[in-house]
Amino acid sequence: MSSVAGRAIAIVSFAELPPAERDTTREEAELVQPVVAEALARAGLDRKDVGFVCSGSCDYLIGRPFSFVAALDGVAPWPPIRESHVEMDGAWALYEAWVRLRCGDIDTAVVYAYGKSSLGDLPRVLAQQLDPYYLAPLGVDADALAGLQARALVDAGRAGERELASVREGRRISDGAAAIVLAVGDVARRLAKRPAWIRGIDHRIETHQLGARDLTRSSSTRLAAEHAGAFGRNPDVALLHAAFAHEEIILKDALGLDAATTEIPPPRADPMIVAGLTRLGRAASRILDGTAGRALAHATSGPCMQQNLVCVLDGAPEVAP
Amino acid sequence: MNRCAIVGIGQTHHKAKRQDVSIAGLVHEAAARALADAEMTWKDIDAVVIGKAPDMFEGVMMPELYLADALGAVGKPILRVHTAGSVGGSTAIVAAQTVIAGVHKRVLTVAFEKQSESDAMWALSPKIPFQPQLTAGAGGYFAPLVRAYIRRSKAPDDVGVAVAVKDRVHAMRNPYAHLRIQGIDAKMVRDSPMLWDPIRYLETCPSSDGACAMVLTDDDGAKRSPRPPAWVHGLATRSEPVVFAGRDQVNPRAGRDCARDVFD
Amino acid sequence: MQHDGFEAPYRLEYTYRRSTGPVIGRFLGALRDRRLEGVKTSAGRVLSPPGEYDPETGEDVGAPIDVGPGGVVTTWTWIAEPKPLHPVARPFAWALVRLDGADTAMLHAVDVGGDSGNIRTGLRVSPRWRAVRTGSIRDLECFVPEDLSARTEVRTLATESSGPVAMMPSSVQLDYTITAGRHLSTYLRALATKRIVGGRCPSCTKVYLPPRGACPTCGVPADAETEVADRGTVTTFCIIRIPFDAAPFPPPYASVAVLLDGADMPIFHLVRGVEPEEVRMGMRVRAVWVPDAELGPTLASIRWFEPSGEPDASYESIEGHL
Repeated sequence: MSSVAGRAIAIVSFAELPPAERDTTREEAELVQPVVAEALARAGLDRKDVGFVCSGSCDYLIGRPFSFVAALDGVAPWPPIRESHVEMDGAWALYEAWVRLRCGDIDTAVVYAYGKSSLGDLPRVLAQQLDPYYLAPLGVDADALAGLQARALVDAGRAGERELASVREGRRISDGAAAIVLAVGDVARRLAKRPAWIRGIDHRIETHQLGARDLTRSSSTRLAAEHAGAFGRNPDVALLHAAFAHEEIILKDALGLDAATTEIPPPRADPMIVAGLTRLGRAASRILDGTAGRALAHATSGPCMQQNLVCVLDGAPEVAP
Repeated sequence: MNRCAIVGIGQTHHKAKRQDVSIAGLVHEAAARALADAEMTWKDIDAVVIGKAPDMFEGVMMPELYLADALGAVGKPILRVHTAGSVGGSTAIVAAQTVIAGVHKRVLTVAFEKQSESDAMWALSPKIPFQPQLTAGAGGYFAPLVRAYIRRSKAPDDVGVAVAVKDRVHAMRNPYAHLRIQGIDAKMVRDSPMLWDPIRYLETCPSSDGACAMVLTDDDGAKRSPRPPAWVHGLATRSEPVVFAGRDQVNPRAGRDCARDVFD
Repeated sequence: MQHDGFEAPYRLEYTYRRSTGPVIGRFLGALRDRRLEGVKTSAGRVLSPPGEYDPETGEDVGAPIDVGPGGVVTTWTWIAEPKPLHPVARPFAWALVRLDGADTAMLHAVDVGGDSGNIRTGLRVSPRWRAVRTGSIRDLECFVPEDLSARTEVRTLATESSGPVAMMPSSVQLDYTITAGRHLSTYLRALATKRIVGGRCPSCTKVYLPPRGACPTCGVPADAETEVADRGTVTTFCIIRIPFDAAPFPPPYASVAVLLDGADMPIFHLVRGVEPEEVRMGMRVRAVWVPDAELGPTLASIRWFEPSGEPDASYESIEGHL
């Protein structure tokens, strides 16, 4: 879905904490405060002028309910602010902020996400997402499910030992936070020399019944990419949210990416719940710094990438109809 | 900006225990009723916005993943909003905004809790190291604020009782309500056990299993609505820090600003 | 960054009481009877295990039908080091198994004798049932290679019909290592020495307990260490009369918000040494610390507060903190 006339929306800045395998010095608000402050500073925006704040986080990662309420102190919400939260990767918080900006009454938004996967056993925590009747009682964890998908890809002749080894290594754990500033039209042009315009953003989900899915393809990524207008012009760079090597293969296929024409940096082990937002931010950074004209960013959630988000960013806003 | 209309609503019966359904069954029931009310089908819906407070109540993390099938959301966008106690409201707001923004035309929005699967006081008061403990669930947290409100406003002692009676009398008009107490009156409320002084049993909300759903559409959908649609005229949210020096907890500025904004 | 903050283990555990609904309840009842079932969608697709709703349409699924007992492995992954909560104690494979007659596959364990060379996509398998069954996906202990089971297990005709399983317990146990950030650790460390240390924000000058890396109104660290008194004023309170598991004492007891002298926000604690009905806003209290041997980096180093005997503070002095 592209922006409506006059309401071209762009990412104008991005900040992330340096990666840490384990952060033992900071509470939630202290993870959030520096990244939000930096993202605002880079955009030259005062926090009091922000129209809307939206965050992504997950209580189960941190081990306590309402953790996001404590984290909100990191944006110093005083005087009171328009604010919302999704219990999802920050990429979906950005989607909500994009929707909010399209309502037309505000011009800027801040999106942030934070996570401390090191506090718990991440593959087991992720297993709490699973069907409570058929899957949870078995004790299968998220890394094992990834193994099933990797094997399916091997059986289909599209992966090999390298991909299986990637699953055996397990996903890497890290703690951190990231923040993005969004702005509309002329405000975006004032805050960034080369705003990263959101030309399209969409997300789709597949059935939760694993045995009813084709695990060798990502139909929801393809569908989201179609709706986001990702096909038709190759991006200069694509940032994919993949924890394992086989996931990267599946995503490249779903997105129709050709490594010969699109730079696809290897996925990094970014913190759970932040990683998708980080892909959006890094993709935007390539446009903000002028090293790319079009960028694609992807985020995923759920067992074997059940749900996917695709965002197309461009150095030029869409021509208003 | 587009207009947003509510063209269908649905609720489950709210009970202490809905042991006749799974979690999916509970949300599907409300959603199906909302669709039936709107005379629409699952395939008419473009997107789903689901809201729920802490996952620990049911022990299913990020339940939009498990519930996608039950909400006809496969192949569609689904968002899960979580703003703690206000989540029912914010979920509807986010859903409405997707229509107002012109992103979707027909949106299903649902919120639910199946509290019988656990114990709300346990879920709200976990003993986490280094964190200050809520002394006794939500009631223990709000009761001191209620006391402060009474002191500041000089509200008579039976004001809370009068509100409880009003709400329970209104509930008699809703066949789906959890508490439908025939003959409820002030004496019945005053005579009920005191839980967290000054809050009495019949002044508190019960722990319920239930779900509520709405179908929201744009103008095109509103024209097809079988009954006069309810138009959304204003939406607002405001947040402030939960704890800060000098915070007015009895009449938070966020509440006042939000109320003013929704009418402006 | 050098840090000697505190860490403590935390186990989040609970046994949920789940109701299953008619579709899942029926399937689990069939498992208890050593039968495998699927459901048919309106398009004629057979889902096993039975989803409650057709993923293609969102509609209710149709009638149950028997599937299996044999099936085929459609993908798998090897578990070289099984965990106690896994269904098989020796190395095994998780697999998607498409039962005969079904169009979708079920996730379960496959026991191939502990040798990863024995598992492959396309392997035909059949169920091994637990001797004692309760109406759970685990009544099916695992799958085993079909030719093996034909030789070693007498296939009983399914004659029992114990009915649907309406309720299912569901245990969750997650272990965390909770860390106290550096500011919180400063506060906790001080409590172990009978001191209460807050942090002052350089911008609004308010003193927060504990110190914070982000002042909630100013957006800068409120961490200039500032000691506050261990006595103060009750701003508000409630009397808890409802018994509950984690109650510190048998009710009734009073839980209070105390504005310590020198601090700009109250802390929540308990008050003893006074009848709950006597507790009042403005009452002056002082901390009762635990014996020295029990002091530790926790707010529980303060056992509770008790009246200090000073005259009550005025309402005006506390009304800004309500």
